[in-house]
Amino acid sequence: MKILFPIILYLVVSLLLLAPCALCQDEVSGCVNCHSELDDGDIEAPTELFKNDIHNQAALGCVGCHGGDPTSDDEDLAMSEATGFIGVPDPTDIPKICSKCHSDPVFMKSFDPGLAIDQYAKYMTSIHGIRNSAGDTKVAQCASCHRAHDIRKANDPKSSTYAFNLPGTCAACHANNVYMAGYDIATDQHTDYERSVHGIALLEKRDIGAPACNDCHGNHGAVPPEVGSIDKVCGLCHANNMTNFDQSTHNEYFDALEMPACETCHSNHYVDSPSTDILDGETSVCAQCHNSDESPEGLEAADGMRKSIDSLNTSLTVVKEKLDESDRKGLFVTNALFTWQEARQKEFAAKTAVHTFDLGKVTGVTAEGLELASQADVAADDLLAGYVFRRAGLAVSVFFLGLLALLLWLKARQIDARQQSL
Amino acid sequence: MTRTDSKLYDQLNVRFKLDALVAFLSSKKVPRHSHSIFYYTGGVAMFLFVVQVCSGILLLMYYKGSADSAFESVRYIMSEVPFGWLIRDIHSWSANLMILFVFIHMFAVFFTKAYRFPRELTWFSGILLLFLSLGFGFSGYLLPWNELAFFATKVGTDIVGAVPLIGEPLLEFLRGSEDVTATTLSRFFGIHVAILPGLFVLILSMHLLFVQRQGMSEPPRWKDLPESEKSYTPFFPDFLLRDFALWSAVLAVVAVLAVLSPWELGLKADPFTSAPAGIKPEWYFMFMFQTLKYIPAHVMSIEGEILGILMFGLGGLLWALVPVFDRDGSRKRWSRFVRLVGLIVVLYIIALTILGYTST
Repeated sequence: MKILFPIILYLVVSLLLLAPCALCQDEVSGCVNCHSELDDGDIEAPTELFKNDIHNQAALGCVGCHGGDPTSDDEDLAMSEATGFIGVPDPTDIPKICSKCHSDPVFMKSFDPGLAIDQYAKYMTSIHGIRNSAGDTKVAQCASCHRAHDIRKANDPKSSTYAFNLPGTCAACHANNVYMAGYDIATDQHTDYERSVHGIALLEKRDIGAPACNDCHGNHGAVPPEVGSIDKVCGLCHANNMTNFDQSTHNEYFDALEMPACETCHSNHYVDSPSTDILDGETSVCAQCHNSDESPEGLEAADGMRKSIDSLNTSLTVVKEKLDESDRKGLFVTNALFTWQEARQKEFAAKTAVHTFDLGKVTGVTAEGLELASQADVAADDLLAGYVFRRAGLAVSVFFLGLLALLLWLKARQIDARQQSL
Repeated sequence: MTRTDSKLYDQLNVRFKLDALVAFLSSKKVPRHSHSIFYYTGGVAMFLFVVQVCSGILLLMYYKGSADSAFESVRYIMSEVPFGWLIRDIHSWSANLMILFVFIHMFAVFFTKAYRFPRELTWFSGILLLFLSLGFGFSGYLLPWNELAFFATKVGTDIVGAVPLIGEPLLEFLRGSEDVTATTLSRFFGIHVAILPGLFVLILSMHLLFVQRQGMSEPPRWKDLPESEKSYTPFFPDFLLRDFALWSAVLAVVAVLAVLSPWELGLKADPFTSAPAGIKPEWYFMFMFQTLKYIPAHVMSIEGEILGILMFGLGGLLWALVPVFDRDGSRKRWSRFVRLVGLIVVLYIIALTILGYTST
């Protein structure tokens, strides 16, 4: 009897401890238990991927999308039609499956009250959504961009929709010539974007504020911006450029000619770093419409704007070289650098003022910039002159200190010699 | 004109009994041998302290010790105040040189066995002066309130906070709050310009008094030499003239460093930004900082950092107490062992400091 008591106690305690664990076996485990042991990679892989899925973290299991009965040990019964099992969903069904939860404000509120619930509605307005609902199984649906079993929040750096990863996600289809063959759409957007000022900022400089595809096209409601809305899309970031353009005479002409506002001069995916080459010379975009016979004043204004901005840029470069030299020499350049940065800011403002297409406004801004650059130049010259003074002062000081040291040492030696001789 | 011819001297002598002082100075002598050059190191350190005091007082004319204006006031000193840049650079460079010479002086005393009887108190007061010098460096580093200083102070005080038992209260005492804040700056400013100078002058006076009363130490091997074989240099004026010559040369070196390698101000401290990469302490703390990096996170259930601090604390204590362990030269082998330990310590400090600057 004595030996029975501890055994019974052990069993009772073990059962008490194990019981809650048995109860907490969620529905995922049933699916995962079997699928993780199968050798078939396609069937096994999701169980591994799903570990990091945001749905798994919220304790939402396989059954939510695939149906079935994860509590059944019988494989046939667990994946029977009677239990609502649908297997791998058809691509045209996926948006509806996701929207069951993601469009339900009450349901979503209990998981992420801040998350939008209009993804499905927007998707149905997108080219992707329209084609998908028409039965096109190749166009992007939710799983194409968010993946199927490794879905992460968009602000997770490992998410396929995280800003740095998004261009690659879109390019998976849009840069694939074979895949896009039947759609009559270019496949060079990603290549263009990568070398654009936006692509370089986002992908090379890792500036998360730089626009990715979705910032211009929308995400769930992805469409190419209409001609009339391009300036609004670009204006989300480039607000002053948009305002200047909207108030300019070019706005009316562009509308009349059905020319997209920003894209006509700056291109769309390959937006190059803003340079005055765009105004005048061989790469002038102004010359695409203006010509010296019919509208020479347009070319003259463009030439004037270029010269004005270039002149400020040249001054800024010269002053910066002096400030860099001063900095290398250990001089305190901060104050002069502040003035230089103000002048540089005027250069940006002048480039913004180009969108007014008013030569007077551009030269007004560059004049302010030149004045500031001149002040910075004077300050840089003062610094370099001060450096010469410092070096000269140092030479004199070291000479006299060295001389003093030498004289004192000689005097000490003289006294020493005198005492030795006594 | 001799002193007895001078009416001014007579007038002063009547009032201040200068004859006794002159007699003392005339009789004061410095041993002359192959290591005599090390007698000058203490004087150079003291001269650099005087430079520190003078340049520090000048900086105080414009420096503002509060978080909202400290950085701006240093920028103003460097850009607007006539020769302000020179004063700041001289202050910074002479501070570093002063600590360097304090170290050299200490090791010179150690290897020449000048800490032995009857000079134990001179050694102890010197050790205190070393710690106060390091305190000067640590507290002064924060005062420009720039990014590097802010985070270096944060790391440095964190290490202090890890000291068992007294770490937490000591950390709070230093910072004035849980983190490095404006309060820390005010506190460091007060420590740097009031508390440390007061203590330093007091202990330096005692240190000098001990040296004057006991005279310069003679090499241990002189103990058995007949007086005729010993050679001395009169302190006044011979040694003092050489002191002045060396101080002039050191001042020239400080000027060259100040002009050709000025100290950067960097960016203003911002507690809300993350620490810039490659934060490193001042060179004189580098060997300890680097050692802490090599100690594993845990050594037999003791936290690595705490173990490192305890090791340095114990090592510092043993170093400070060397006059107790090595009282006289009666035990030759023990004496050689102490010297060997000193040599290892010097090599260790040099090696770890170099590693600190070269390792990635």
